[in-house]
Amino acid sequence: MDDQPPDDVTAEARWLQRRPGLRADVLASAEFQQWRDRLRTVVVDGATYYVRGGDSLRDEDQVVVEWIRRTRPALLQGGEE
Amino acid sequence: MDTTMRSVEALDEGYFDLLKDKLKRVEVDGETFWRAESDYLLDEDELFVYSQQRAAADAVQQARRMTEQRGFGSSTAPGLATADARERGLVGILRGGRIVRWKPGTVLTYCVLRTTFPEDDRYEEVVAHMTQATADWEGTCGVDFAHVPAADQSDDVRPGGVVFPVRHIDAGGAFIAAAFFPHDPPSRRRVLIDPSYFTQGTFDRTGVMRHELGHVLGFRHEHIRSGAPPVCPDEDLGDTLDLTDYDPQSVMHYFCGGVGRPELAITALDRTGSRSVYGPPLDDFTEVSP
Repeated sequence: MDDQPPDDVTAEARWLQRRPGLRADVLASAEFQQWRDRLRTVVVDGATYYVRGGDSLRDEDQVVVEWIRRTRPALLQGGEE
Repeated sequence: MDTTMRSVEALDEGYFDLLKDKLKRVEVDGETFWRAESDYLLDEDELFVYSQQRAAADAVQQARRMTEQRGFGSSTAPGLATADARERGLVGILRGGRIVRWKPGTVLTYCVLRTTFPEDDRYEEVVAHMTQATADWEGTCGVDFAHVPAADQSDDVRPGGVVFPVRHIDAGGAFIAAAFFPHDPPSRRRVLIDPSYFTQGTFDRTGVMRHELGHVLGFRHEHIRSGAPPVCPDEDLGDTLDLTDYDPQSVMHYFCGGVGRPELAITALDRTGSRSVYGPPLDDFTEVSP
C-alpha cells in the first residue's frame, strides 16, 4: 500500500473515469439495471449506497465495476474496452 | 431442479419437509421464499439444497458424538469428510498485486458518536463492545486501536482527530452493522450500527464488532471462498488473496449453511492469517531504542 492516504474517491471511480463510455454502456444496460434494482439500498448522509455482502456499502461506480467483473471480467484485466 | 431429482438425490427429504413447515414463509412478487438464519430468503430449490447441507452437517456432528462416546471410529468417513469442519483462514485484499494493510505504526483511533444513539444505554453498550473487540484484535496480531472519548461528544458525523467514528444509523434493517476497508476513501471510514444490532438474536454483539473490525483491518468474508456452503451469500471475489486455508469457524464467516459460529470468535487460523499481514501482537515485543 502506498504511504499516502487514498484520495477521497474509490479505485472504481478512478477506473471508470478513464472509461466513460463503458460506464455509460453499463448504466444503460437493461440487465444491469434489473440486477441493480434488486439490491438493497441505504442512504447515509444524503448519499445512496448498495448493501453488498450483508455489511459493505458500495456506491454506484462500485456496483458498476462489480457488474463488469461478473459479466465481462476481461475488461478489468486490461483487455478490450 | 425438479422434484424427481430431489427424491433421487435427497439425503434427508424429511428434513426438507420439516424446514418448509418450520421456517417463516415470505411472498415476494408472487414468489414464495423461506427465511433462514435471520436474513436469507431461499426459494424452494435453494431450501432443498440448504436442508441437505444441514442434514449432512448434523450427520457429521452425530458421528462425532458417537465416536467420542464409544472411544473408537472416525467421524470423517467417506462421504462425510467434505462436510467436516476440519479445513480452517482469512481472505485479504490486493491492490496492484500487493496486500492492503494499514501502514506500520498506525494507531487506529476511533470514537463512538454519542449523539447518534437514541439512548445512552446503547451508546455505553457499543463503547464496551468496541473496547473488548479492539482488545481481542490487539491480542491477535500487530494492530493498535485507541478510543478517543473526547470525540464521542462531537455533533459532526466525521469528527476530526480519529481515523473512524462508530455511529448509530437507522438503516431499516438493511444490515446489523457495516464497516469499511483500509483502502476506502477517508470519507467512507465509519462503522455504522443499525437498531437491529441490539434486537437480533443470532450473533454475539461483541462478535459483530470483531467481525466489522476484521473488515477495517482489510479482511474479506470467509464464506465467499469456494469451500464454503453454496447457500452462503455470494460476493465479488476480485482482488482477493487467500491468507490461509478455508476456515468455516472464522470470525469473518457468516452463520450460513450449517457452518460459522454465532460467537464470531477469532480462531487459530484467523490468528495465523492476520499475523501474516500485521505480525504478532505489539505487546509481544520488548522494544529497544537505537
